[in-house]
Amino acid sequence: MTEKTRDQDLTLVSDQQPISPLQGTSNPPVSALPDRIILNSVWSGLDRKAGAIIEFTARQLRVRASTWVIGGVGFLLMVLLLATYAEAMVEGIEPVDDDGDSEDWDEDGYPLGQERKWGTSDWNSAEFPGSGVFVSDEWLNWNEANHTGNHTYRGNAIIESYTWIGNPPNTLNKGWAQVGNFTDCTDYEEEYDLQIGRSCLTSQGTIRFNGLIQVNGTVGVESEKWYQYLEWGDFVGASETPIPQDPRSMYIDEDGFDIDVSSGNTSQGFDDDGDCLRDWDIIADSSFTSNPQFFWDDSFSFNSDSNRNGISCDVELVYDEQGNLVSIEADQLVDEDPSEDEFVLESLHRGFVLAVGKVAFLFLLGIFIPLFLATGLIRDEMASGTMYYLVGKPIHRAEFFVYRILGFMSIAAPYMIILAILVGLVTSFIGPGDSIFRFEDLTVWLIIGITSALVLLAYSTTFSALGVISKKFGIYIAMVMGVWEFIMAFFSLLSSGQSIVAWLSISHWGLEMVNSAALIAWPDSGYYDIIGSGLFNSSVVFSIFWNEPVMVPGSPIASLLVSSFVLLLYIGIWILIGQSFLGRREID
Amino acid sequence: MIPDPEQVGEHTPTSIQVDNSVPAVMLDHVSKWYGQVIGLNDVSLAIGGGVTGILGPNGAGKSTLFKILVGRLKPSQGTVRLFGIDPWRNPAPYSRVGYVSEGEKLYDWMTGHDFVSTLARLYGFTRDEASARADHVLEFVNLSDVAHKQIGKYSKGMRQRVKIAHALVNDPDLIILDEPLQGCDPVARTTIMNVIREIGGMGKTVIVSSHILSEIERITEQIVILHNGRLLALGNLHAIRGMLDKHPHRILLTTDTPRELAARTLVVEEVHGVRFPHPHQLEIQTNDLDAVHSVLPTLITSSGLRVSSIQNPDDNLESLLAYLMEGRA
Repeated sequence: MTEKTRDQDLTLVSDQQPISPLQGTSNPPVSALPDRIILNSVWSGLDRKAGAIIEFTARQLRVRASTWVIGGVGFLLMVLLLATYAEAMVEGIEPVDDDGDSEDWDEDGYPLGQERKWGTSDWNSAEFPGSGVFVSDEWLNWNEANHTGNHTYRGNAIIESYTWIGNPPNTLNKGWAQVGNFTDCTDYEEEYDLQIGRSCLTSQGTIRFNGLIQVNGTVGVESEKWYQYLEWGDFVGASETPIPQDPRSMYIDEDGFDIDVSSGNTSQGFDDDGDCLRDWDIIADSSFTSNPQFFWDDSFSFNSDSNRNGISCDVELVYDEQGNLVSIEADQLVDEDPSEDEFVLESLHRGFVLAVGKVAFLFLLGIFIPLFLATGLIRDEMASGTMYYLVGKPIHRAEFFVYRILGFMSIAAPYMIILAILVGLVTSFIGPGDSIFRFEDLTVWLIIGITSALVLLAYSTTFSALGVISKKFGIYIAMVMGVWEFIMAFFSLLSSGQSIVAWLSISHWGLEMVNSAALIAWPDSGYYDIIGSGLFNSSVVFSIFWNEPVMVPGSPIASLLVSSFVLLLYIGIWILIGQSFLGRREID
Repeated sequence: MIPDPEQVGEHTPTSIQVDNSVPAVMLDHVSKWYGQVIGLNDVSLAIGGGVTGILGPNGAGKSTLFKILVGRLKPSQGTVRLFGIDPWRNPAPYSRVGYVSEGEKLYDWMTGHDFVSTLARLYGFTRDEASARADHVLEFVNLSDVAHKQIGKYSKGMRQRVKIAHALVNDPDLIILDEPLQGCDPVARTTIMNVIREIGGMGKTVIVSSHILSEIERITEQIVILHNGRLLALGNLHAIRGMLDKHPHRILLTTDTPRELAARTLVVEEVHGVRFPHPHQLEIQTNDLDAVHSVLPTLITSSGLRVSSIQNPDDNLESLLAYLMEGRA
């Protein structure tokens, strides 16, 4: 080493020059840092440094136009969604006749539901409540031309000969063919067909009739008249006084769900409108009473124990070995027409909450806000040449990376929370229910808020780290990852969280957390899901947006904790990756 | 003046134990290459106390040297120590360093005061301490009047000064200024030079780079010359000036009457010869630049001839480098 002081000399340096001090004698020498200075200067005042970087990052984001544009778009999206929701809630759901029994197909003034209760056909205007009903005993086989006997016949046929023919009973049923003064058949009637209740004399001297008739004689069908048929049996249930017609509205929303999932009973439900528990006495004398399969409608077969649990007219709740409700199976015509206000509106509300929570908060805002605002947190500083202002300070780059992310979060997280509060308040106030405010929804919104923050943190850490890993391609890798997350989010949603591939995405764990939140706040979610997707096809909104948590089946809290842990682990790993790359990155 | 920590608060994050045995800057066989391109080539150097000028043409490796010193770049080879600590591995020395890069980029949306005080907080100062320190350093660089104006509205000179202010806010022992005068107008240059001299006079270690010899000459006598990434020379500028003076020098005068003026200058003893490179130019050749310059004004005035400019074409960095390279060879 060559000692040089400030004199009038200049040293020309050779190729292998020694360390050449240029210490001026007139100036005091500088002091060295102690060995453990890092504890003294780097970690001291950490909160102040952290606060400064967080505050600086937040201010930097606030002055960017892109921040306001993205924030504004997110806010507008929420307002639009809320407006749609509010309109649906305020107008209510148009009552839907789920079982179609308010229709009056034969236009006799009696709706199908009323005809069903009385056992009359809604396809035959001659039959209606109180008119009495013909219960068939036997019919003419295809290879038989006639039948002889004293019966009540129903058919479109001819009386070849008879010893006695009876007048129609005192009944309102218009299906009885008139007897007494038989008139000659018209040419049309001779060649073709008769109206129901009409009878006439043919040119061959036989009596043709269409409807019911009491005859002791030989009755048959003509060989080339394909429309003719004949059956015989009993006429029962005629009322002497007319039965009033029920309004059609009586058969809309008339058979609601009578199920209490919490009771644990496997056989529940009640046939409120009585169309399953109808009065079968009217056909008590029929030979069909010994047969569980009743034919009481022209085109409808009915089994009062269609769920085959040995109990007629009930709803069976099927549980698995862990006690989880796996399906709800109702007998036909039991709980088949519930009120839309009771179920659909509730289902719609819950579906909306989950749809907004998942799609709007997690998928759209959760992915796009970090993509646009967090990818450049470090990268942009390096690209613009201002990075050294921030890292050329007694702060570890690893700390700087974390503080920068926290700075982003200090803007993004409150934004998401404010949006969640806004949407939560509006939906809780105008949502369905007896109380003014749906307090139970707060749990869901709280967890949606926390999940959004975790997802934001996960994406911002990832995208930021990608920006550090590759200044040139980081943004493109982040965009590809954003698309991957978006696809995986829908994949997870549609596969009910069962897809293992989707487990590799952040979005899956966010969805799992929201599903858990829903189950914690609404313990009957499984019931709504099963009814929505299985029994009640008109309201599937909730079923689409809710899946049973899959991590710890039966324990939403455990699922919530596991999912949070996975997300935190993911965040931790990406923080380490980002810190590691930033620590080794040269800032040119 | 740079703020005294006692004036702005008790908290002194930069207060550390003193060990006088270590220079502020020490480089030992430091090289840096970017792929095939060599930025710095086997430089060994120790700097401590006073103002040191790093002189070198564009591409000499000045900025690379500074970036290595402040831990922005990792040396490809060799050892770097700031106050005895490797700045690439440990950011602790930054508490005693102020650095102004050559880049012009600033946060234009901030006010000067915001900029300086926010960055001061990164040293661990409280908000109030940082604000007080920002006020002091902005006053020191004569920016108090525009401290609360957005940086985006600052002139070039103001932007340089606010960068210098930010580098001084932690009352550093070592201040590194990379081309601080680049692009500044004459008034700004004078202000900044005065500031640098004042800081140096306070006993701080100041390293300032430039590619213009006259600029460095006005700031310091202590120089390091870099050329093509290598350390070419180091020492006192007077010695360089002396060496240059022993070398034939040219003085270029622009006048309408070069021949009449030549006749008058040839009577001066130190003038060896004259040349007319252009119909309106006179080139005087001498070995004693100072002696000729001392008589030239009187001579021109007494002659009544009109001279529109006087230039010293050899008194620049390129000439110096050429001379040094020649000497080295």
